[in-house]
Amino acid sequence: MTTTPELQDWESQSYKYGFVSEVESDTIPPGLNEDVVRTISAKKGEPEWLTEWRLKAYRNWLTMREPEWQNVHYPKIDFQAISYYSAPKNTPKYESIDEVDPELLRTYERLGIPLEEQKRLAGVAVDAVFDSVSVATTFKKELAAAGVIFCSISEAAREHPELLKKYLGTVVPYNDNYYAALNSAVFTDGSFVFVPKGVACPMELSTYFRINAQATGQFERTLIIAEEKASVSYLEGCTAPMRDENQLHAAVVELVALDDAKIKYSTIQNWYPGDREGKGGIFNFVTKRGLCKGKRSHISWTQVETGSAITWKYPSCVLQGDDSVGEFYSVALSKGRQQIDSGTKMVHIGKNTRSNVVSKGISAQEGNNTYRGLVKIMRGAENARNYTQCDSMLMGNRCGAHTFPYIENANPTANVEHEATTSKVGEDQLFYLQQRGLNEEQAVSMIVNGFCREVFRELPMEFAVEATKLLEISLEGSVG
Amino acid sequence: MKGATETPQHTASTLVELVERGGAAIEGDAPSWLRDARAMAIERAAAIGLPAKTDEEWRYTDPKPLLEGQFSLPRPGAHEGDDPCEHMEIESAARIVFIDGRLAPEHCRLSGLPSGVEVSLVGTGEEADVEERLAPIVAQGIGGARDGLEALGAGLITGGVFVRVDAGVTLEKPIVVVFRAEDGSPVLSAPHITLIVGEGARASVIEDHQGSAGATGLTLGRSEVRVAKGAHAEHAMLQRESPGRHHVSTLRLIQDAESHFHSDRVLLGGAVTRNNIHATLQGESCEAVFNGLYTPEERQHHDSHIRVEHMAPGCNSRQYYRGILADRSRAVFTGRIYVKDVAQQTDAIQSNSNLLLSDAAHAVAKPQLEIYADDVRCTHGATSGQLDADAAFYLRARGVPERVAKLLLLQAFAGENIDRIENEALRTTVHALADDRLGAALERNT
Repeated sequence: MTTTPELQDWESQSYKYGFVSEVESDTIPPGLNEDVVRTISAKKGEPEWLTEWRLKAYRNWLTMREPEWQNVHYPKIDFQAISYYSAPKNTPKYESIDEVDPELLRTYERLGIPLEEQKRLAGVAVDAVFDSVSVATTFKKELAAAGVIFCSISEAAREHPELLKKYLGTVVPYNDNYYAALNSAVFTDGSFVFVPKGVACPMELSTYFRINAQATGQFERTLIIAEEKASVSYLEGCTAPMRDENQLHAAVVELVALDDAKIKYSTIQNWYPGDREGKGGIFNFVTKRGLCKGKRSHISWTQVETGSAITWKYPSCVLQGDDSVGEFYSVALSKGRQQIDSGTKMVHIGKNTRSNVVSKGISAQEGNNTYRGLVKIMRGAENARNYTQCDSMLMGNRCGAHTFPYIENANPTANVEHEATTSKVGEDQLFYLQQRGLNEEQAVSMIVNGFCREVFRELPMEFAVEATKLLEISLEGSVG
Repeated sequence: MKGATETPQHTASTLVELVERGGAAIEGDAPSWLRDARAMAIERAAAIGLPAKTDEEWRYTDPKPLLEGQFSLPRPGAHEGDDPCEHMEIESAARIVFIDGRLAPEHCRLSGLPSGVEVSLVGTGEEADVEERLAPIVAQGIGGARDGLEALGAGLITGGVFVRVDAGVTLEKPIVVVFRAEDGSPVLSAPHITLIVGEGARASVIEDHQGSAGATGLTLGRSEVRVAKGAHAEHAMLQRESPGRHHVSTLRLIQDAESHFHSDRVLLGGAVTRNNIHATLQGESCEAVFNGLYTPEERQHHDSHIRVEHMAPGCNSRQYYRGILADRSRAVFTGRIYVKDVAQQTDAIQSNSNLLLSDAAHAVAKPQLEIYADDVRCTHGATSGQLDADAAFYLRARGVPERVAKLLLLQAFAGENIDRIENEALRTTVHALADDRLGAALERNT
């Protein structure tokens, strides 16, 4: 396949979302120490316990070693060269969208998410994170009427400290891993969602993340809580402007589902992947974990990963409550010099817990795509069930597709199945479609779309459209 | 190795101490190439370090009992006395017996080999000129070791066999090598097998590791197999060591174009067992099958680590590993298919299934793919669970008593891999051993 023009490469195609918008930022100088942690906390007007929690995380981080087991390679990160706080200047909380800096609005428009329109669109509330501070939140009132809290995590620290204190760090502790510890010390923003008992969130919640100021790592912290019988669907999508310097992004996402609660978390990740030589691009090192705390609770992760120089994350489920369900659906595309080491962990603790994992990896050019997953059946997890399927598709012989699953079973009544295949776009499939009148590009596009269908159909409608489009754009110039 | 002087190496020590003392501490009257190999192995182990539980490759198997147990190398000289071995009813081309790491010459049969077939003894003081051919293979094994334990296994060599079959020669019957551990001091034996099969030739070797009930100690085994163009080689290992003895063995395979290789490994005994396979399919259009069965029980630990590297186009590899776990046993399967960018048209399958008979048994599977070529067909599957209740019900509905039904299902599960064993006599032996074992395990676990 290496010689066929439709699969040659995408180098002519520049990053569609690459631009830097000129908004003045309030940025603290690069470097990390206890004072920086305190400064961030003070700028956020946080309660003392949170400052202390950050410091505890920071001190712990100092004692930890950078992990080396991952199947991604990058130059050593100089944590002292990063600026840990960057907020668009003068950010009052706007009541009306008209008050927002027009430069900022133009940025959103170029990103394809005009807030004006969003308001009228199918009931999607947008908490737009511009760099690290929320500047506009829509649909707040409607959500408030339903009793749903949807705000930035900084706002939650000020207005709902009791909730934050109760749940923050309960799923991903401050000392969980190197990057989670770093995040706990310096997180600047992210979303907070609380859906009270019995409430089905009236709309899909969505946050657009965007990294903007140069050389500022972004450390969001997202916490979603669904109380008994509550349900919520959360959408996360991101694009980032073009630049030469590698940028670290180390977010933490925590989900808590109580009895009969349901949380659906969808991600489209399309950050700047770096240029054809692998220069620049985002390092996306994220800790995402959901705790199915209650009986019959349900957490579902869906991700479409097409961006970033390096994507390294394992959205996971801890199935603690009896009869709880965890799901993971993923499409990951690596091309150019992109590297992906992603997958999921399903930890079965409760009885009759079930998990389902579907992972689709596509590797092209010199991209490397690794699925790494853990299915752990604890001794008490009677009748636990897991089904894992990870399929890889390769285009060309300079890319790589790797599968490293870990399956640990300590209960004889549990059933664990893992299947994986690796293949290329079949010559016979291509031939068949071309023979039906499609050109080669359309044919490949259709095959790739079919390959990913199982995952796309798990996405909320708007996202499914966007994901299909994104994949098409990513394969543009070569495969329609 | 002749003469019975007690050198420090023959007093008990741990592998950690052995490595700390360094290669120079190895003395004795072994031939110089062997002393060099041992020193090299120890130096290499010191350089790359002995494994620790924090290593990814040892995550599920604690190497401590292997490294910190007190073992002594076999005393020099040959074994004299009876042959206590459990011999299979097998027609063999040659039979070599080691007891407690020492050659038992009276019980060996080496005569009557067809021309073009060489079977030489190694490390027994009786070898003739085998060193020239063996030393580079040993050095390669030590150099390519991925951890210190593997390096020691590749170079300590307390005894072994060198088999070479010339181009075009077919050796119909297998060469059987028996390693037996008897009661007494915990012996560290490092058996070394080399099988070199020339172009278009055909040969097979069967290793039978066994022990009396009370034997302790450690086996650090190494098998080096080289299969030339168009050749056909088989290697089988039956590990039925005593439950108190640890067993680590590594099979290193290199295949040339259009060759065929078949491996059978049956793990029944041992306390902590580590079964390593490192296969390199170097030439085009090779075929390789890795068939394995493990049935740990009580507190046994069976760990298999298989790496199959596809380095050339058009090769075909199969990994079939199955386990039945009883009592408080643990099993680990780590398999990796590696496909180099040039290895187009690779067809590789890896499959691992575990049956857990007890609440306290624990199975871990890490079936891995690492692929850099696009025109390949690589699949892996892993399952873990218990006996199929529907199948058992079906049998019971047909009037089969529950226990018999379950045993039948277990036999069928294990049978799929036992039936794949190439040598018929070995197949029959394993069937009988497995039936006894599974029947007893079922009694205890229901």
